[in-house]
Amino acid sequence: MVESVSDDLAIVRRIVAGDEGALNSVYACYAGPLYAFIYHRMGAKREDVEEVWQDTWLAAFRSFPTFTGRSRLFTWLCGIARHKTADFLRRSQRMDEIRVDEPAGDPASLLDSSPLPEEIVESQAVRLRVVAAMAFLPDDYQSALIARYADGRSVEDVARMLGRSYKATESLLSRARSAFRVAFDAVGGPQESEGGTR
Amino acid sequence: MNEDNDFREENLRRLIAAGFRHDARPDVSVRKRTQARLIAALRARSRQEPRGFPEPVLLALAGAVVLCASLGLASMLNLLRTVVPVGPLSLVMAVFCANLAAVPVGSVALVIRRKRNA
Repeated sequence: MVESVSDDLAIVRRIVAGDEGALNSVYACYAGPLYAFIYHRMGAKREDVEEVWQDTWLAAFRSFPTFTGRSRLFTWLCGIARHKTADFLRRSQRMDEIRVDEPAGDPASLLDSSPLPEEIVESQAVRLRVVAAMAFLPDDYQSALIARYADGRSVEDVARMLGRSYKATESLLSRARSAFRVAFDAVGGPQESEGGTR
Repeated sequence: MNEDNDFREENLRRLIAAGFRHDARPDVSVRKRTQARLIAALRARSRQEPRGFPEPVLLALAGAVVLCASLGLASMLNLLRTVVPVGPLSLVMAVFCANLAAVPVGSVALVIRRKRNA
């Protein structure tokens, strides 16, 4: 897991120096969230999302030497993804489809005390915020949360999938929920204001 | 308190389910293929660009340049007339000059290669 901007910069420098392990670890952490980010922005067919996602990774790979660590790595990747999405939609003349709706009220303030209204959960801005929060978690937290909550798997199933005991998985899920809660508070909006590199 | 925890877990479940529904996740084969492409690109880049010059070679080159420069200086000051024959000294000086001339040519070649790889 990359904890801070300086960790992001260090791991990118290792990639630029040719470290495959660093590239694999960045990919393991951000491949899923970056795909979800593009999917929720484009709302397009799977093959279109896959094309933009692959273009984004290749562009990011070429641009790693220019990463200065002024923003978090995931924010920087999202910047590239935004350019690639815009390029794709421009090519297919669907530029007007990029719209990020803002939900009424901050979902983080409602999270602990009442059921969230459906229109908040389903709003594009909130889905992008969920994706951004998830990107800041280690990949084992991501896998556990997605398997448990997005796929609806039982704790036993998640334990089997991760090769851990039931108790260890319960504890992992509990830590993952807390980390997600903190990250969800921290990421705020859908990160529209950060610039990216093409 | 328990009710709050239930709300929290249920809300998290709904948020994560909305953010990471099946369509919002890459297909396993596409995910592996993209990773393989990135690793291949990394290996190709590592092969193209040597990351450093081997230190012993660098030291040997620096030593040779210093030796040539010293010999040249000594020759100009007429200190070597009785010690070193003129033929080999001329050869050493020619190598030294060729090395110096190679610096700008090498720099231009490097710039062109980097532009092509960018």
